[in-house]
Amino acid sequence: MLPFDFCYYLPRSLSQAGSLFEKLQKNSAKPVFFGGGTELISRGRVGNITFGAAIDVKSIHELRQIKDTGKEIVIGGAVCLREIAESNVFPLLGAVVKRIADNTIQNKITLAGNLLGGIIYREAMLPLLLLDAKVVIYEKNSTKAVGIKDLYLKTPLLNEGQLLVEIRVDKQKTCLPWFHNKVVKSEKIDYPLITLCAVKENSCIKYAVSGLYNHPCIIDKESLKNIDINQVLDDHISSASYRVHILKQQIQNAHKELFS
Amino acid sequence: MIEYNDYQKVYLNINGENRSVIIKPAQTLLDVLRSLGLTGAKKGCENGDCGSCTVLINSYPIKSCLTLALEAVGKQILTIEGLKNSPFQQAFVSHNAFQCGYCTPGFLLVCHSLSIHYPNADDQTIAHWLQSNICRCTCYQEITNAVKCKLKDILQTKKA
Ligand code: FES
Ligand code: FES
Repeated sequence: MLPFDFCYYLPRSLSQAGSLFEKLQKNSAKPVFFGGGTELISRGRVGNITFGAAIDVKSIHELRQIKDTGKEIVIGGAVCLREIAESNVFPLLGAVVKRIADNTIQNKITLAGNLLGGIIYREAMLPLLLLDAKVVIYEKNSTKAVGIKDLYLKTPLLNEGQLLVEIRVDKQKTCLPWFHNKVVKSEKIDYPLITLCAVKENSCIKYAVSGLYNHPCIIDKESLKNIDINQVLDDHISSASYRVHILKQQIQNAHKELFS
Repeated sequence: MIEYNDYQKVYLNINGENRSVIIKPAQTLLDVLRSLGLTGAKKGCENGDCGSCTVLINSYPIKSCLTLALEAVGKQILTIEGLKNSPFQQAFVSHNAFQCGYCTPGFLLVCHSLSIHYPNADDQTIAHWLQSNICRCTCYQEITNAVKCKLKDILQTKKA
């Protein structure tokens, strides 16, 4: 049981969810959008956060779809990680989300939850960064598409009241040769020491990494040379220098695999 | 739009039965199931880490400690109490796949769901599914043996 009371709403459309959020915010009811809810429930239970209203967005059609338009792959924000992996519409993203948390929780964590949550690793972001995904956001009765690269360094990623509707990626790019590896300290189910994703396009490899800094990022040869060790995560999982060592090793592996 | 505040009467479909319950939004599914006497789902970490609270919703495993009871309205909930005569129960006994039994309901439900969705599961898939649950008595090898043996049996029976 969560140690505080709140109201629970189940809107059926984006406009219902949006106007409800505005109304509740005006009334100082502290609303939150609720998708998988794993982070809200676990943090709420230990008193890290409170909210007055949970707006469950899982009944909104746009947020629940996985679509292949022929040109683009579209994945709704409230699609859970298991559904993404099973759909196989975006194999690199599928491989990444299959290693986030565990198999059972993957039935609950949503795409938006992984991208917007408080856990810094946000591994689902890596394929999206590599493929220049667009993020469709709903706010105040309208939707807009924003490039993921314009967004990923913002904290929080979205402003209050904004709702992540879907991500869109160029379908052709999802067929590029790819590499993914998550290196963990000891247990298979853990936060990453380093998660590396790479895609090869026109004999050129692009890399994105999680576990290096306190946010996922794109990395190239230049930035690899200029890593500021003081910015690298240094914690109970690993020292900063070991993370850099693992990253370099993984880049070599990716290079070998993608050019073999 | 549906709205719930404070205590309200709702119906939960648990083990094939529609049960009326009076609940409030802050209650997790785990709390509500246990308050109904369905104590097979156990409180372990209450943080999504151990899997002892696992139940199936629409045939997929979920951690009921990280699920609001209201999220399960309109869905089919299966708890260990409703898993009657699952072949995995006997396999756990014959392979000594438990000691204290605290984790066993969660593991059995995961195995049941695995056999529905991946009856041909390879070793990697089996390992991936079982990694969601922790056994403090460390019966991992016995559990894996039981699952592999039973999946093989189920497949052979189907073929025959
Ligand atoms: S009690 Fe739910 S995962 Fe541990
Ligand atoms: S049998 Fe004791 S925790 Fe698994």
